[in-house]
Amino acid sequence: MLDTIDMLEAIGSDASLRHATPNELSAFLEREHASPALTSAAASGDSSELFAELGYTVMHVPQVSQYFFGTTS
Amino acid sequence: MLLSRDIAYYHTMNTPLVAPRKDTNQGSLAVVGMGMTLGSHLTPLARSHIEQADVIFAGLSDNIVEQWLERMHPDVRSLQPYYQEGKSRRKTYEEWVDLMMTEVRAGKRVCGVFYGHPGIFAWSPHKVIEVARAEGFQAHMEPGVSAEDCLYADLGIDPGTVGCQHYEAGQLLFYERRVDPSAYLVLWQVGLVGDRSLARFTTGGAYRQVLVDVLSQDYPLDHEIILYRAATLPIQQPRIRRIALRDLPHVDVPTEETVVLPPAAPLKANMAIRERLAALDKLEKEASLA
Repeated sequence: MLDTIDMLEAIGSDASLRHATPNELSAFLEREHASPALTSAAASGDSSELFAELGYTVMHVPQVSQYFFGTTS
Repeated sequence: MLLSRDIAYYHTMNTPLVAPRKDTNQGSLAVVGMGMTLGSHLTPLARSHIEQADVIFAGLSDNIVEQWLERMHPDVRSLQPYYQEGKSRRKTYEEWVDLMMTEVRAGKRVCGVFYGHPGIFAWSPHKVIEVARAEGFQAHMEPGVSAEDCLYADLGIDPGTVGCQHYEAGQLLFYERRVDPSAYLVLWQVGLVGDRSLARFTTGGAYRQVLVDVLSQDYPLDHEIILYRAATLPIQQPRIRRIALRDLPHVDVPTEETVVLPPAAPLKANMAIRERLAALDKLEKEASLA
């Protein structure tokens, strides 16, 4: 049985799953015995439901901003 | 001895080598893009770089994606802890370069993995390649599927139709730029627009109001704009919101969201140049008949 990370990779790389409706995807995940958190997140489209299973870390995304180039360290 | 493959290598790189390449058993560097969506965008070549490296440094946007990366390699070192509120990102990015170069100098095959495309709005990946090459190490970048790529697909925009301008949002505030309202305008990192400290991760509505005031020189305040975020997990849909330009200061704009301004004016024909081209066509036709 695939775990949640493996299942996400499988969804992301399968055209029929990646673009399935939430109902279709959650039905597939139930059949494959995916975790309740993943099944629920797929149904709702709210990935925050995965945090309880996989943990939550604040991830910063800013890369370089324009003022960076005008400053010196 | 310079091999033919080395010559090809030199010719494909933007940053010139300033020192001879060291032996291949010494350290090396590959900087690759993870793409935007888990499972969907990682290229076979980028994955190969990850799997063949001795050590991985990860600058990713989603901790679940980071966990996925950890499945591919036993030694993944997150760069996220080096970000800190109140600490200049300049310092953070310099630390990232030092971390990667320390391992390259120690003879390791290092792979830096960054979300999206590693060379877009990303100082450290370009800098670490420059430093590694200057010290004689083999170093290169592999492209990835970027947020810009996803934007074109999800919003149905073809930059070839009327043109497309991209700016880090702060550039419109810090510099006098000429925006062309007959083309698309894409503004990145609007969520922290106007930050001069490099130490914050967001700025408030008052800063976005300054941006709106600048944009209002070229766009009506009721012009519909698009707030866009690409999916990072394959169970997500892209986030697409449409609001009036005047409302930008009053809505929450996370840093990862991008603002798109569709054209507000039609293309204006350049009749003088068209006439000049027509004259050239006529000359060529006459020459071919002669």
